[in-house]
Amino acid sequence: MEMFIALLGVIALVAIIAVFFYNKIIALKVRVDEGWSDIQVQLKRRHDLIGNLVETVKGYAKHEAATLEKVIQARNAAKQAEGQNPQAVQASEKQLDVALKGLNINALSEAYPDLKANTSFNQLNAELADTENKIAASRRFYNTTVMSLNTIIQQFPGNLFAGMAGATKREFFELDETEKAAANKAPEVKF
Amino acid sequence: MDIYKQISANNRQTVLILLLFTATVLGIVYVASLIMEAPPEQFPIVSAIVFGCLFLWTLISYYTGDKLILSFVGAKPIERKTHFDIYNMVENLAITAGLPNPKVYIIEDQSLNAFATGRNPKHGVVCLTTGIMKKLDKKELEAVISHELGHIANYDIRLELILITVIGAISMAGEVMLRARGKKAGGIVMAGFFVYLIGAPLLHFIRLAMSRNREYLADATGAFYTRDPDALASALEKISVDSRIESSDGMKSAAHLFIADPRHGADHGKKNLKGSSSLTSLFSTHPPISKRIQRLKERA
Repeated sequence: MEMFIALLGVIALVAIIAVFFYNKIIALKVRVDEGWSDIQVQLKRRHDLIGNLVETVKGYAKHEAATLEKVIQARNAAKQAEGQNPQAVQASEKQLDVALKGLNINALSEAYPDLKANTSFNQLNAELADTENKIAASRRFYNTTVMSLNTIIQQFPGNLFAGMAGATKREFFELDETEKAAANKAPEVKF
Repeated sequence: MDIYKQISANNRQTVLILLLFTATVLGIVYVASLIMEAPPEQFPIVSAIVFGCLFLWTLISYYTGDKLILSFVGAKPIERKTHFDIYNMVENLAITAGLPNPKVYIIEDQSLNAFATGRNPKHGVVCLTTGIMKKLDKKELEAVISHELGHIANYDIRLELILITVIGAISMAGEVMLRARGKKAGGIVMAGFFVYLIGAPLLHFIRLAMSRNREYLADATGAFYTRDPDALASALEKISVDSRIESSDGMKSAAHLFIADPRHGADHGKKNLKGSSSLTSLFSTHPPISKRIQRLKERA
């Protein structure tokens, strides 16, 4: 009789542990998905702002048509990549960074005083700089959640339940922050 | 200790302090019943009633607590339109922390201080003095805001509210017992003395220990969000010079919410640097700033 109760106890304990880990993995997985979707929201905002910014600049900086065209192309490619996996998005965003650096908005506004005086331009520029910061912030949050999820599904006993929970190892989302042409540099990662 | 270990260690300490607190409350009820010569079988029921009342009391102050402090210190809300930079700074850090965007308030005061309130992250509030916004550089200000967001994320405000309410209720119960009249009054009055003069202050000490522990945790959490412990350390150094806020005078119960003690400011921090005042630090809601800086700089 005691053996039976002890066995029941062990089974109950195992069941409780299983539920705990399964739920934890699901919760982390949902958080990672949410984190990724937040990044997407910021990236879309970035693409829209860049589009508007280029339109504004076109009217004033007539000699920059070629560089502006490059930015538009990179931006369209990035828009196409919206909603794809982190690797694809990473690649297209990096291309966009390169194109923006080539445009060098800050130097432009110095070279064309009319542009610098334009309030729309300044507002868009400020919003774009803020968006870059928001992308950095949501990227950092996303990577933290990815780290938590990857850790729990690789450690024991989480690894036993990973398959059941439909959780797979996720990729980090990396952007080379030194490439950013925005006025505000994102904070340095010192850890 | 690296930041992750610090966070775990602080969380463990919280559990211990909470257990101590609960045990002390039970102890107080027990000793009081002994003094009143109540029959021992009644102890479980009496404890249940006491805990039930405390719970109800706490629930009420839980929902009304946060608005009070904002009006006390004369904090004013700000919007993205008028304060673009600071609003976005807070919002972006909240994104990193995975928190809903808190409301931002400002206090017109030259001293350097900041606090967070709000019973849960959805109702989070971060408040900054104009002094701190002027005197800290971008990284230091971000570190301070992250510290405050850490408080919100760790539900510290709720924790403190619960502890303070329980202490308040027990203290009041003691006071009421002191005024007992009638046949068995003697025992009740004695128990009242015990509860009011020994029990409540004891709980108060424990709550202060908890407050200091949560400050360390908020430091570690904030440093984790920014990945930059040195920025917070340097911000704390600047703050230790002047954190006194005149408008917070007389607000004993809210002092703990500020990043640095708003009642004593400079002297408090300097005294502790000499290491001579471990006794005063028992009475303080915040750990000595020198120790906080030290923990942040040890990252091995």
